[in-house]
Amino acid sequence: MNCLYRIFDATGLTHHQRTGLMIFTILLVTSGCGRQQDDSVIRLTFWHAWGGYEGKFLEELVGEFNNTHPQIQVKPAFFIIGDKLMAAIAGGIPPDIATVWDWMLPTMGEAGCFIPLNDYLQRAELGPEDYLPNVWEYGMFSDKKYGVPTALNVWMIFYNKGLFTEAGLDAESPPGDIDSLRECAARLTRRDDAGKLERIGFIPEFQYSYIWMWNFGGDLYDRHTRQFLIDSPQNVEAMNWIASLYREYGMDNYRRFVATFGEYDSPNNPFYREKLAMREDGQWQISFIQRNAPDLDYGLIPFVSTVPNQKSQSAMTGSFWVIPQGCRNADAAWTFLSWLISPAQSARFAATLYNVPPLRAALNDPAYADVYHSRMRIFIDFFLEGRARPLPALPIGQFFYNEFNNIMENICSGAVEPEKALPVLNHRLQGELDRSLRHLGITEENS
Amino acid sequence: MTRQERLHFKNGLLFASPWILGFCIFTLGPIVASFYYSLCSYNVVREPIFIGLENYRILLFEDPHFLKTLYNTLYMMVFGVPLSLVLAFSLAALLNTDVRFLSFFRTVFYLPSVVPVVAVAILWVWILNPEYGCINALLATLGVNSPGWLTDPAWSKPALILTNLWGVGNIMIIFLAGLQQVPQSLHEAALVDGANRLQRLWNITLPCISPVIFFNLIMGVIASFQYFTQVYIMTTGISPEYGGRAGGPEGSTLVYALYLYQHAFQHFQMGYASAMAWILFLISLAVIYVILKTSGWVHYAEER
Repeated sequence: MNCLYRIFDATGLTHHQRTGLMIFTILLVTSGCGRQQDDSVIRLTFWHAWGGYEGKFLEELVGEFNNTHPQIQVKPAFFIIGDKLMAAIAGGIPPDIATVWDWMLPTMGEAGCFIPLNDYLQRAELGPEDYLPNVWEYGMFSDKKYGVPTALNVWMIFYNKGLFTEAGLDAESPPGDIDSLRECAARLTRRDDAGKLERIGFIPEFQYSYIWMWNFGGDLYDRHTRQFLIDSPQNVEAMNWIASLYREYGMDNYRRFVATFGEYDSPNNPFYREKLAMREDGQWQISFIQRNAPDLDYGLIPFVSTVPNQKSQSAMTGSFWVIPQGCRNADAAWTFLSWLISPAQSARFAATLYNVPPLRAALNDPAYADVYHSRMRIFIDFFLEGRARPLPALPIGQFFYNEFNNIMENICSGAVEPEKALPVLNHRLQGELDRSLRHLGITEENS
Repeated sequence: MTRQERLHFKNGLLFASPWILGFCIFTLGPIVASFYYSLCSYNVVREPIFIGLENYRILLFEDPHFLKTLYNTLYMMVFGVPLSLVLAFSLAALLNTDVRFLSFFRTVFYLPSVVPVVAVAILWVWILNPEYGCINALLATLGVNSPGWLTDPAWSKPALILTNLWGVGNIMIIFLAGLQQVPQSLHEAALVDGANRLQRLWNITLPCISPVIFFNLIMGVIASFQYFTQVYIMTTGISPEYGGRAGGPEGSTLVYALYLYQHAFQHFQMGYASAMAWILFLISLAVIYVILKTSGWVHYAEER
């Protein structure tokens, strides 16, 4: 204090001015110290990707955590998953917990963006058997767990029962094989006098063609040998089937028709407006229909398989929670995450979202009981039977996505033949994957 | 240098230093860095790994989309730039005449340039909707079989050019300023000699404003190499739940800058994206060089 006074003494100010300056300086210094005073409390930021009532519920959950864990205070913030997270990590000011889409997880993880959670999971005694089938491998590249799944989705075919009856089809026994699916689709399709589409019976969306590849007995990738398998005869067959459906409608007709579709999460969704009689969609649609079209009478088709003795398969999709590199306190971030993914919280979160909780234990949690015994049951059983499959976890996730969609679109529009296009795609993806592994320093031996 | 001059020089540097520093840190630095990164495998987070000319080799000889994106970009340029110049010049010529409500018309034609580009892009997605859009509604009343615009690979680029034409206000203003600089005396002399409107346009107006045309041409060419925002918004905006995505349909609007963006910010291949940027720089350099070499038609007024 004395030395401070002497510094001001040298300025040649009056006593009052000096005192004023000193008080000001002390206030300045102590306000800076203010943050350090309660340094026993760890403050974390959490970037999540849920808006609306879902986001509100998640923030309430975070509030509960803050109340029960006074030494860790988590501040949630909504963000749109995208390049912003990469920029924050590269800039050295990342959030302490963040959310990413499944295909980004291994790509960003291998790029060095996230802290691997293997040790934390091991200490929490969480292993493959605690999760629903296929979920442990989901998003996992070379045995590294770069994140934990938030809540899971699975896809199915939704169909409008009213339209089935109208077309003279039995609404209670939906198509069970590929031929009857096609026949139903043809009978449900409606065109006006000029040949313009008014309703489409069924059309597989090309960006989810891989579901049909699985159901034709094909696969995309072997994660043990790290080889793409996209050019298999089964996949060629699947794509020929999909392309033939697009040919029937006409790509130009189809695209014009799609341009009339209303917003997805609104009463104008084309499925509610009877523009699509059957549609591939995720299980969240159950709650969307309750909200947007409560009177809609619909049924569910768990896809159809063309392989003898193989049950139909579907895609598992979703997002992951991660701890970015540069996080201020990874242990505290894990404390929060492990609370959030614990069966009790996970069950409540999944029930609110109409998603499937990743841990088996959460399924039996009372908070999930209502959802479990609703129409969700078929989706959950799908998971339990191991029929929900994830896309391959790759260090080139978005690249895979873009290239896959490019080729699938070209096949469906008739621009290229599957026989020729799939080997080209396979070659391109393999080249990019091998190059990426080389740059990451991953070889057969050290993986 | 005398003491006085040195002092002036130092003061000059001092006063220009905010700009010099800003330029070096935020422009020159990144340019030099991007060249180094173009020789590396670099994902922004990890340290760059030097790989020599690998990125350039893949881009030029292996990337199946390189030529296609270049074609899309050149298409936009070859058809878009001349069209916008002709339209902007015609508008400027009309607005340079003596009509009633002149300032009102000038404002109306300039107005679209003031609207944020994102808002314009979203508006045009609606206007170009093949079923509900007003353009096709208009065409339908004329009995024309209306195109699918952004949903049709054959029409998507013309649709984007159409959108760009809506924003020619900026070019128009520059033309207008140029037109007002054309000496009235020349027109009067030509009138005395009995030249008609067309002859005066060809022999007086165009030569007089040729530097302005040239300027707009160069700016237009540079802008089309960097063309990104509209195409990114307009092609992502159409039914993303049904496969609508940036650069679609069927990659028909995947322009060079958009493809570069995908590599940099989606695939996290910043090194590859840097190599793409340098190739684009070389291509635009070559195009500008050709334009400069063939600029014999540009007349500059003699210095007085």
